[in-house]
Amino acid sequence: MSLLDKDIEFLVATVRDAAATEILPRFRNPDSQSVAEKTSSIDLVTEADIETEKRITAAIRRLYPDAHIVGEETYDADPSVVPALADADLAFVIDPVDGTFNFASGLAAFGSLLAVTVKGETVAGIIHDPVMGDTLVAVKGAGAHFHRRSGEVAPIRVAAPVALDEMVGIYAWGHATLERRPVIAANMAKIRMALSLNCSAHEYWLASTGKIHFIGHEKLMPWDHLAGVLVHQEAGGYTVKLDGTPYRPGEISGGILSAPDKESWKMIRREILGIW
Amino acid sequence: MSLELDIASLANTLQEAAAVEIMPRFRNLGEGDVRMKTEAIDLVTEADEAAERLIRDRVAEIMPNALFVGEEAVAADPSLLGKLGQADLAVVVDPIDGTFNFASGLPLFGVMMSVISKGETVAGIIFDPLGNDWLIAEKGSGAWLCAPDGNQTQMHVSPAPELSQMVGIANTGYFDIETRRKILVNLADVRLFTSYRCAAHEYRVFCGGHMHFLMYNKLMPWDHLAGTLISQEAGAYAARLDGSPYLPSHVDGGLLLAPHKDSWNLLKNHIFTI
Repeated sequence: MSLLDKDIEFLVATVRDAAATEILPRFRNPDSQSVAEKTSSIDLVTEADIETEKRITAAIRRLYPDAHIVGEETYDADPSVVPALADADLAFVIDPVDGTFNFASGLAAFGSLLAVTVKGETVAGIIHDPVMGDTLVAVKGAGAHFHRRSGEVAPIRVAAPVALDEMVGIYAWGHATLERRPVIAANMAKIRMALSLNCSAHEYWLASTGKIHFIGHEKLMPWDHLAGVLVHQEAGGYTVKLDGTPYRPGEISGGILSAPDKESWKMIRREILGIW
Repeated sequence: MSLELDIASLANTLQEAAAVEIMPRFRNLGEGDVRMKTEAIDLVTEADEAAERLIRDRVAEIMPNALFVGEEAVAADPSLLGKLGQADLAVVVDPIDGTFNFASGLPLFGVMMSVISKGETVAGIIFDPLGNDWLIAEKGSGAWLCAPDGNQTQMHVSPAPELSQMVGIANTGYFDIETRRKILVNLADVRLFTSYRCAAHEYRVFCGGHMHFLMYNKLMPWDHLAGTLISQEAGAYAARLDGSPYLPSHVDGGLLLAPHKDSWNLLKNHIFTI
């Protein structure tokens, strides 16, 4: 199937509604502090994660009853939903609250992500900022756009390539192997400024709107990356896996790197990751 | 004579600056509104200057005898910084802390103010324009989170877990490259370290008990005086990297904050080995 404008409008409205209803009222709300640890003190799930995913899932289910729906929280119950993305006719991948550590800490750097895949290809990506109510939307082959809460829409574009020591970037080396962490961490000293946001929604947002030059990750859960990768690519950027192959729905191994263009990508892989 | 502060009026001033000069410009920056200051990353915006002007005018009414030290004022007259340590009374302001984030459209920035009396920080306020709420501390009275509806919640730092489980902030950008490399290698031993490029929110997260350390190298007073006092009032231990107290006259020497002196020493001896 191919997505129509009205499908995209529906999905953007669905994410915005869920964020306004289930996320924002719980942000910095002392009456809504139920937080559970998943794998560690920084891998958390909150009531907002669960309720937002339910609301988005229900809305999508009504309109696309046969679609395969993958959410970060439902995955915990059945991990086989991820490999099924590789060939599903129509699938929706939801990260209800990306940046849960920030959200639970009262930091406004969190977002909601939604990707649409058709037969193993991402065809639409949505990154929503619940705090400001603004949204980035990409449709495969049709570009990436900034949709303001006000309704105004403008195209977005990645940054122009610059020299390594002028770059501002993010590399989440915390998921790299133990022996590689200090190497990558030390190599980040070569760039102008290293950030880390612990929120792929805002990381892809900054890279896709040209505010930072690169982002990289070594943990590839699909809800963290599918939407952002398409937004970045449609904004003119170069994103592929660390081995140079395209990133596809259903894959969870390897790392991923986004840069303004292929030349910058190769330079960052060499100088920061030490991969020749 | 003890100092009588109209701290509520000062907090209202930051709130007004955020509402009038800061929020209307967020994500609406035209190309002409961001220009070079000292370096490409050190962005300053119309919002920064306009907010400082508004705050300066209000402070002149509330505390007419106070020396006003703002980031923009010091950029215009660097001698102001040297006067801070000796002033009977001074007000130090960062109109927008986190200017890179602000200019990038990332909603992590804040407005900070501290009141200095004879070389000592006596009050601090960290205001969040997005949430319209603020942290406040007067020396000896605890640290408080003030919500827009008037509710106040006392803030306490969390006890530190073992080193491998600690989460914190490390700003390594202003060290020489070898020191920076060494600290980054050491930091692989903690659970997570990060830098949101916004001291206002880093102090807020730390005082809310969500993080276990903060480390800064460049110590401009508008970035750290308010946050250090608020952290101390929330129970934290703060000192420069040589162990000496951090004072309003200091601009270097590194600053490390931890929940307790024991965790401070652990971090100093294993991570921030300078």
